[in-house]
Amino acid sequence: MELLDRYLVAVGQKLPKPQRDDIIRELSENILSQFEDKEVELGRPLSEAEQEAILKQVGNPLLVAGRYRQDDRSLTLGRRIIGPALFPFYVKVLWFNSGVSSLITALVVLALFQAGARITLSGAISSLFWTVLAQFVVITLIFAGVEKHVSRFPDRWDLRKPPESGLMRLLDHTEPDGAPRISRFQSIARFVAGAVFLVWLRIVTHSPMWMFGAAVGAFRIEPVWHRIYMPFVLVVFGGMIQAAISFIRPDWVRFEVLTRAVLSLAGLGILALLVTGGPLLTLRDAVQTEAQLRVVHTVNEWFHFYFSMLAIAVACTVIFTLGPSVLRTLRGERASQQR
Amino acid sequence: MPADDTQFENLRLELRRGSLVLAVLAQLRSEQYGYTLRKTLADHGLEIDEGTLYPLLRRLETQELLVSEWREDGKRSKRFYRLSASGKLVLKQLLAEWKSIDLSLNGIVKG
Repeated sequence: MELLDRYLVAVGQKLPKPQRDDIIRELSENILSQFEDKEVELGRPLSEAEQEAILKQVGNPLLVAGRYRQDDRSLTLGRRIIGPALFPFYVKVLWFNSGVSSLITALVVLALFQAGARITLSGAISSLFWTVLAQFVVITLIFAGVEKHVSRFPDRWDLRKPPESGLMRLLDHTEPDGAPRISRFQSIARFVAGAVFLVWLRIVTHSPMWMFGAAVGAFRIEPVWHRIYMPFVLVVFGGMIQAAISFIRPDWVRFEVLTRAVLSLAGLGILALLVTGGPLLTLRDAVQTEAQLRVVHTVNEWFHFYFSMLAIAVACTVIFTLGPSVLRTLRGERASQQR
Repeated sequence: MPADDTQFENLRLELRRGSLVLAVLAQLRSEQYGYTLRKTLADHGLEIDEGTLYPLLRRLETQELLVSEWREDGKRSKRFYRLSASGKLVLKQLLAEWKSIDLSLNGIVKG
């Protein structure tokens, strides 16, 4: 039953945990009934090829699991652009990128408005709209391309020799022998998220007026931004390199955990610099009115508050999520060295 | 598949979708497990692939139209499904609706 067991493991990996055992138990029973019927018909035990033929009829493990999922969502524009297998990753990247950039845009616009700068509602909505639209278009195009590429051969799967490419393999979280591995698609998603964010950052840095409107023209960026810009780009770029390495070597789970921890700590250091580095913006004009000073003071307060909150969120992630993973990884390494 | 065939296939699937629920509910007036249910439906000319049947059974159970239990049968334990009390009521209403649609359609088709 080795083939059937491998098939059930492949389906189980893509099922939601709460229903996994129950679904697999029923699916297993159903397939065994089919095997038995065929054996009665032939009057002899089934060969591996005959078992495989029945499993092929049951279907691609990825698609079979997809039918059981209650959250079987996809992006359809006339025809299906992003299927249910990639959709959760797509939504994650979309939320992360457009969420972060929209939050920054909203923060700047709100701070300017709160401080009494000349911000119109249509200008604010337009800034947010263009930010979200640009992210949506770029991320959707990238994912649609990936979907088209990896879905070209959905039925190309072989349980005796798991394929090294194809949608199923890209989404796998374990090696055929059960050892943990990083989902290749998760690595692609991280790489895409980093690349799109870097492009957005470049646009914002070079043409802030295009993104936030004319009101930002009154401000001068303080040196603290220039100090953190390159380290920040390096951290995001480091994340992209780590994702690329994880894509090539999905079995390097320790490397992934440790580099993520290092990059998160570096990000925390950058945020600490931003929070403690004094005013982030000053006024461009030499002659400054009281109203203008109030504007710049409020904007700086908003920025400090936002970056403090972000630093707390990153610190919590490091302590409660990454920290235990790093400890588990190091303990695992020590245990394997002792063996 | 040519465009016309695809269109026909989509319409056929749409037409079958509602009928399958009715067939499954009707067949489960007497208790059965998934594999025999599928075979019985096929014997009546209603082929349904397992990737459709099992998720459908789960959905109908979540909607409390079916109840199920794991029981020993022969060498292995199997999951038996049957109609619940509310399932019986819904089936009765659906059958009445089906007969009414059938009557109307016959009238329309015959002109």
